[in-house]
Amino acid sequence: MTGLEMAATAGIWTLEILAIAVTVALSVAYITYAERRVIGWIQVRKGCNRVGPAGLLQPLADGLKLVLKETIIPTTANKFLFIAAPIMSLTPALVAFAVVPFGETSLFGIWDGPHVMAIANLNVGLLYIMAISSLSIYGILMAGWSSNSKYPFIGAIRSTCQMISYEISMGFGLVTVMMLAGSLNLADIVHAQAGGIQHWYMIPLFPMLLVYFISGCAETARTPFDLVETEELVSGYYTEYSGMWFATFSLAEYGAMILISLMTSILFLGGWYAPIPALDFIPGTFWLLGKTAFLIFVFIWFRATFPRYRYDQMMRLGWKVFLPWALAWIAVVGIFIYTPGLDSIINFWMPWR
Amino acid sequence: MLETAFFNLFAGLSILSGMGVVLARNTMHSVMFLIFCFFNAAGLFFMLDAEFIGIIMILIYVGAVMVLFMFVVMMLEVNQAKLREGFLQYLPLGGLIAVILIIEFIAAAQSGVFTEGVKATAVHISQQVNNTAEIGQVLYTRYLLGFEIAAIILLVALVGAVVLTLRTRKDAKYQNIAAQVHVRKEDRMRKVRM
Amino acid sequence: MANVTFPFPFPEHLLALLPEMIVAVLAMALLLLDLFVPKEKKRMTAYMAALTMMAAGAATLFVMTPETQVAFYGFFVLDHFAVFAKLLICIATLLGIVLSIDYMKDEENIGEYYVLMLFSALGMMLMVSANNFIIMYLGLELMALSTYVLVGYQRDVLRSSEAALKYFILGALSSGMLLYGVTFFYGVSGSFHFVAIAQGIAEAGSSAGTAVLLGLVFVLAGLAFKVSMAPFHMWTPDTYEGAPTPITAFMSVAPKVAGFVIFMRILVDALPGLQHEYTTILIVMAVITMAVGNLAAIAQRNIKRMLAYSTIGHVGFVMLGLIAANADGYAGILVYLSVYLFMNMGVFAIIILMRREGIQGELLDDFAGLSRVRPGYALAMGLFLFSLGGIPFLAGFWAKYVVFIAAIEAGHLYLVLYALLFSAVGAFYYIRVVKYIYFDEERVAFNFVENRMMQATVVVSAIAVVALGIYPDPLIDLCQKALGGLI
Repeated sequence: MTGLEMAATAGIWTLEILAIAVTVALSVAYITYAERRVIGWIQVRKGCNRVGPAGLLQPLADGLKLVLKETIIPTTANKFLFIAAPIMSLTPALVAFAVVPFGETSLFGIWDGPHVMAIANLNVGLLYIMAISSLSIYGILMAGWSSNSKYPFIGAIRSTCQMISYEISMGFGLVTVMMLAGSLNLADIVHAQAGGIQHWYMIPLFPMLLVYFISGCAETARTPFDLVETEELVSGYYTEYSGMWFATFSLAEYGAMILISLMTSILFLGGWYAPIPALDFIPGTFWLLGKTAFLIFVFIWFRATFPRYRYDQMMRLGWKVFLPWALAWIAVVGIFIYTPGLDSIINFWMPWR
Repeated sequence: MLETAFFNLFAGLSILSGMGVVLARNTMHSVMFLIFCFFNAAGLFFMLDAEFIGIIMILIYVGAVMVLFMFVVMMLEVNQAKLREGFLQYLPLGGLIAVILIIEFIAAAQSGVFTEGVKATAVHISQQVNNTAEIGQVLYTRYLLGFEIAAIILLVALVGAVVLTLRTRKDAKYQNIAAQVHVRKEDRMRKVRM
Repeated sequence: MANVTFPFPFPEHLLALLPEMIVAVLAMALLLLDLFVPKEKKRMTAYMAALTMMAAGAATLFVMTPETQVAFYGFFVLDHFAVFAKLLICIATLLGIVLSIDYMKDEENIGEYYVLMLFSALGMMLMVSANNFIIMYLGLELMALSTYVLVGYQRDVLRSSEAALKYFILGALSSGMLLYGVTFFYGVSGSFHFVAIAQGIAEAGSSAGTAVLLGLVFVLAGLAFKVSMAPFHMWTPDTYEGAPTPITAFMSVAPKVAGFVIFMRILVDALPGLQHEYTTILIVMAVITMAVGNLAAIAQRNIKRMLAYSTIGHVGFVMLGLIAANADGYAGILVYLSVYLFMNMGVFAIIILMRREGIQGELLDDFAGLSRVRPGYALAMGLFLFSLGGIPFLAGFWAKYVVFIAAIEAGHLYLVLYALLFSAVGAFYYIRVVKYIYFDEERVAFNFVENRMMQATVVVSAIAVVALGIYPDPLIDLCQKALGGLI
């Protein structure tokens, strides 16, 4: 490989990474806007509508304000980890996007066949997502510990318990997807759902769709699982953070929310395929992003609707409801796959078999 | 060449962070160094085309085991300075073992087993070969019995841990959801004739 | 898309695993069922666990065929040797469960206790059927892990927790040593199968001498821990003393059976080329084991602790069979283990039955005057102790006789003389207990537990000890037949 080619490859990589990172950051900004408007609409009030036309410049104003604010580091804090914590929480949220396939394209016929639009089309994509999203816990844990203050500490411990508990049922939910798709490659999983809405995994795996999405809600500490950052804890693990570092945590949280929505669309809602094959003339990326946008709306809808869980109720839901559900559904799918007679039913969703 | 560079990067960083684990004054820093060390080890696995092991390393060790470590470190107040008292008295013995190990490693490296041609030079398998699927194939056929026993061992560990720690507290209040759901209006309301 | 054959084919010859499957499935079912058993009726759990073990024993006999069966892609072997060991394990576990019913009835969360016993038995049954280090190690860990928890089951008793912790830490250490040793064998032969390892060692010859020797030392040390051979016996007295008495009874028999059986398999199948080396190591260890076990037992006042040292002493005698390394020696080990099962279970049953004002009869003094109050128990206890001491024409005598003769055949005359010496020392402290029972005055009132099943255990064990003492030939024949799978 010559130096020029290497430089070209490196340039393309940089562009790909920027294309995703910048988009995520911008969407986070506008999801905050959407959140305020949607909740306003649900609660029959206006929401932000002053800065710019219909309040559209509000996120930029918010961002500017946060950047200009002073960053306060408590004197008793462990400075190194205090500063490292927001970065440790943002990095996994962004890195996980590396394997997400945003669609398929042949670049207007320039390439021979369709190529998957992902930075890396890994064979173990699903495992990668699980591994990376399990890392975001460290940012929170570190933030809580290094602040050297009791509210952040309690918040961090609650958050850790919550994330560990729900990660398990989430992982088991994904096992059923793997069983049907026969692959850990995200593009392969989408391909296995080709052919219209009746082939999507939300039909055979509907309980797992609920388990995955609601666990995702808990993983990202969104309402009704936001007891990590409640008022009683003075906003939990980031009590001591201000200015840009505070914004970094929000960025990570909303980034994780986008990721969960994307993954739910890819794993259960047919990814970039249209519900009716006739509608496939619309580019797949639009379908994928449309489904994702709907799921993000559902997140916001949850927030406007549900009261918060108490700590023991949250634990109960994770361990005593979701985990048995997920395990039972694995058994159900397994029995269907192995039993002669029943396997012809399940084969409808396993086109590769 | 690029591969060698990456190997040196990962190997060097894992050694440095390994030293960091031992030398850091703050226990929390030690834990962070250990996590970083695991990451670099995972990177080395990726370079050997063992992506499954690499990912599992991150998922299990970094994602689960180290969180528990960190919990323990956070909950116990470990006083490093106190632990280090008497650290030097073990130095002669530890140093001796270290020196012996270094001599052994050098001897092994010079023995001719690891020279070019003999050692399995990294020939990368093509991307079509799916490591994970291959591991699954043997794990669920050839090594199935071992896999099942391991599962039962984990069950026993789980049951054992619960049995040895479970203590129903008399003073704590528990929510009985079934009872709540089955409440009827007669249980709570009483018609009073005024 | 990856090219996978799906669904995976079921492994063949699954029937050979029927006993294991029965234990595993019923243990898990019991774990769930126990949740619905009300606290007063927890005995049900124990009865179901006992039935499970009976079913497993019956299934073992049912699946037995004249020829050796191999299942699970060659990872599981069922021969007469394994069948015999499994039957012993089933009986030991059954008796362990029977002894527990009354002893453990006041504990909180008692259901899991029996389930863990079943899992422990499952681990041992898998272990004796292993023909490779993977299954052997996993079976060993399953057995050990369940036993650690069982030892510490009485969490509020400090002794029990201490015993569990010691056992756990030393057990983990020994597992580590075992695994480290296995890696050397794997490095030399590239396989975990015993037979392939023997081949690999033979092919490598002297070029891999040091590696093989290192592996041998570590594997022997790891196994020696599990069957409590000196100098790896340190955990035994504390663990035996601290554990709940039924568990002490259980773990003084069943894991020893499994441990010695797998010991024989490894020595015969995997390491035939190293016979000279391992015999030397074993002789040294046997000399220490016999001395430590029998001498330290004299100084004990607590009967559980005394029996712990006596176990070590007996392990020393059993090792003579390994050292002899001939068919008679291996058959002798099986005879010894079967006889030891009945003697030890009988002794522990009486210890559990005996209470003085609510306190478990554990000190030697507690036995004073037993013959005045309960001549039946006193007689049985006397029989068991005489048998343990190797007094002629009780079962224990023949057990010792068989291994001693085998060792003499193999040319270890001096070692046998040494063993005879310590056998006499051993007889002394057993007979001392008999003296307490028959010749000392009663001091505090006895308060016996009335439990028919435990009394039956005592009676059955006593009959077995006497009957085998008078007419041991069927057992010896049976053990020689059982060896068919091994050699």
